[in-house]
Amino acid sequence: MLLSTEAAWAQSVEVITGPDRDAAGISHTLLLSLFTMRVRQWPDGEPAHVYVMPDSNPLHEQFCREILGTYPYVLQNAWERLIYTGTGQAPVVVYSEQEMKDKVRATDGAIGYIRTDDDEPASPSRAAAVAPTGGRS
Amino acid sequence: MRAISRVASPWCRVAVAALLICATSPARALESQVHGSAAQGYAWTDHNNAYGTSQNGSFDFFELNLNGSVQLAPGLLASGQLLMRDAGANDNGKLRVDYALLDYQFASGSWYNAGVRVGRVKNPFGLYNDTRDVIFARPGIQMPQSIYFDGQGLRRLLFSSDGAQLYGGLGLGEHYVSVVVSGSRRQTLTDDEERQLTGGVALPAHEHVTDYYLGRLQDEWNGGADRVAFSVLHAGLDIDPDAGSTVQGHIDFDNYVLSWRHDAARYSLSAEYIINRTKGWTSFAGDTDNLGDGFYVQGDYRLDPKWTLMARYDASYINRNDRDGSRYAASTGGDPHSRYARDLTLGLHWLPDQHWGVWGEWHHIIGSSTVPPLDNPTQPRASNWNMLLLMAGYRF
Repeated sequence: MLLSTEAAWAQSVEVITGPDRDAAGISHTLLLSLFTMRVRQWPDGEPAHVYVMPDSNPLHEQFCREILGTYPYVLQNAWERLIYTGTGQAPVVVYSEQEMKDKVRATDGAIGYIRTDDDEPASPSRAAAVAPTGGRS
Repeated sequence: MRAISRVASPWCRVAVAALLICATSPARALESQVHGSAAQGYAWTDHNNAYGTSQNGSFDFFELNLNGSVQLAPGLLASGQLLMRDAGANDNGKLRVDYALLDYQFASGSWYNAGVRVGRVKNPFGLYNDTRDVIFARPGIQMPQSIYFDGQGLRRLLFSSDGAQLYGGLGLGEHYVSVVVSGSRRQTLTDDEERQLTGGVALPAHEHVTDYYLGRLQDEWNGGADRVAFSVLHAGLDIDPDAGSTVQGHIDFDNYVLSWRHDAARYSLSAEYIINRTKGWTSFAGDTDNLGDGFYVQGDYRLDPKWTLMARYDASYINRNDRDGSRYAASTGGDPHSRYARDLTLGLHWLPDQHWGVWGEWHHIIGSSTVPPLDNPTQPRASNWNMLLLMAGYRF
């Protein structure tokens, strides 16, 4: 249920998922679809529950740049287009990493991200599964 | 509730009921959300009026919206938005249903999705049309007039459609290609909408929007930081005579927009180009076949996460084969400057926190084709004018 990317930062960001699935199989395309909220369910039909930190949070910024390959304000704009056209919902905002861990790990269909120490790197094969080709640093 | 049921159509009641369901349902059980925003504007102009009698300074400019959505089943979303907007004589501040729809996403995989929306749906046209009435989700206090027509003509046709919308998208490597197509049922224009369309003239006739469709094809990459789009909008307008009148006709409007936006860490660049054709026949003007166009280029620079500078050049031409209006003036004796508008805008935008926003814009405009006729019913229109717009808003 844990997945990280190689990072030049002192710490890496890892994608985490709820207890019913494994983050290892998630493609970058699916990650983008989930976090831009343009799909509302997993490919197996289970509802997706997306958790993010606030726009100004450094971990959120790192996640946007390194994992999704975009910027927090671009993601925010995409959510606002959904909200104000009635074509989707915004993700759930959590305000601490502990809250992120607690909520994601307790919720089937959930996805979020946490910080991890560099001395506990995820396996390279898993990293390759989500790392965008054009990550921003 | 009594006030709401008085002002509104069945649409309004459906939307209010949906909002109440969203507001009262347990969040876990139905995944419901309620959002909204409110903003008050101020307009001042040295010549011509906009957003009310702006030559004296006008506060006749506000917008208020409240929306709710509820995830009824994994692929099924119900949503609605109530909107009040006042903009001088162009919008009356009355409560209306901006959208009220059911969205069924019948296909959803790791690299594709597709669905259908039924009800009153927002019209995707260009980069910003579907969020044009929310200051937090549009590119400035005033939309680029070349593409989005605030005070005149087609504005009514741009808001939303009562009908159905099909959508789908494909993830192709780093690219996400999506398409949205909307069709609408026959709509009858109100008297205000008629006068917007005719430039302030009340016709002894009633108008129906008949065949109406629009679509947008979009490619985005870099996680949505780069976008290009092509939009098409077609509307046919039947003009049927009132009793005792002989005014009649049919006009087809066809609009095509190319859009581009690039977002970087500190700056954003965007540009859109429109070409519009008006073709038909009316008993009072005979045959009509006109090709207009326009474009804008905008740059936004983020000084820091809270402060953004904006600059925009926006140009509109009613007839692309007579951009300076000289042929029009020679044949009709009218003002050549009524056929174009070139607007240079400088703006500043402050987001002190996630809820509040403050905007300021200075427009220097050459030409009067974008002067809203309903705010300027009698006076001659100036060709060289300035406009200051201020707005403060709150969202949740």
